Amino acid sequence: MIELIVRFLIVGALAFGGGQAALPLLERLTVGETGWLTPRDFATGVGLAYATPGPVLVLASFVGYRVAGVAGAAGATLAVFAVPIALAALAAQITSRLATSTSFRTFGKFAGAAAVGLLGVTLVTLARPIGRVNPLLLALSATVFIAAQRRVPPVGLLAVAALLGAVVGWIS
Amino acid sequence: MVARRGWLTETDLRDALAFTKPLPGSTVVQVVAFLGWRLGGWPGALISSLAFIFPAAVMMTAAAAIAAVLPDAPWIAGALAGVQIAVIGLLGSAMWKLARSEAAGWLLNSVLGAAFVAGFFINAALIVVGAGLGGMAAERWNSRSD
Repeated sequence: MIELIVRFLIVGALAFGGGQAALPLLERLTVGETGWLTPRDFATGVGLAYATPGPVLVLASFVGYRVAGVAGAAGATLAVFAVPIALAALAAQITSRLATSTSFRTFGKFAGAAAVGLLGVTLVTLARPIGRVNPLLLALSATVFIAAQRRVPPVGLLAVAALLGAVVGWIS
Repeated sequence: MVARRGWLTETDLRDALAFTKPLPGSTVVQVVAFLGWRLGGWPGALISSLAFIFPAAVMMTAAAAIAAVLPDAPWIAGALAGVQIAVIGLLGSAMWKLARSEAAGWLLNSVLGAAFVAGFFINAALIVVGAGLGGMAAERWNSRSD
């Protein structure tokens, strides 16, 4: 439980570039490095995070629940938002010397770019088991990619994908 | 709140966005915390952001509980595989958009590429912190040679 909270504090404190940019950190720290979740579990959580209203990082509730039940969900969620909330309030209080400091901005810019690169690792982690089943399935991912680029809402894409998957599973 | 109640001004909102964007974390939550602070100090920031997160967190916890007890039927496995396939596409799209907004220029793009390669071998938190520190060092080096 302590490890869970520490890991989520780190994710929150390093979430440069916003919530979505923190998804790979969350995946690395909870799937890649600990094996708390399988790639499939993680994908389910991300799907739910996209489908439900609110910030994507409530994914912490999902992971926390899987690791340590309701207490885990509460602990992970509070931990992942603790540093960002404190920093934002602090920024409001001192009209943010931190946010206007050049070196801090530089740090954030480079850290953010690195986080986006890590998203690639997360994609590979999620795609590998699917590709092992049938590489052609990844063509469907590419279709979703194109649809998302054209601003089709994620909820709709997820619903169609789940439905199609269920039908295929039912038949075979 | 700006339009309906007049509690906050447009300037507050602009400040909130400008000051929280460079900070790590969910920007929406931080905008809420920032405005909460302007309305009621630390208690305001805490209460508003917790109230903002709470419904989503409860929903996610419930969803996790349901997902944990799903029966092992083939159609459920199929649906979850479908979700995973879609999530790959969605995250790919997020990565594309983030790469364009967060990594302008060849230097940041090479950081992105290096992090992608390093991510398979090195602890992710170390990579992010390392990239940030490296960027600061590079900038100091640059300003010295000017």
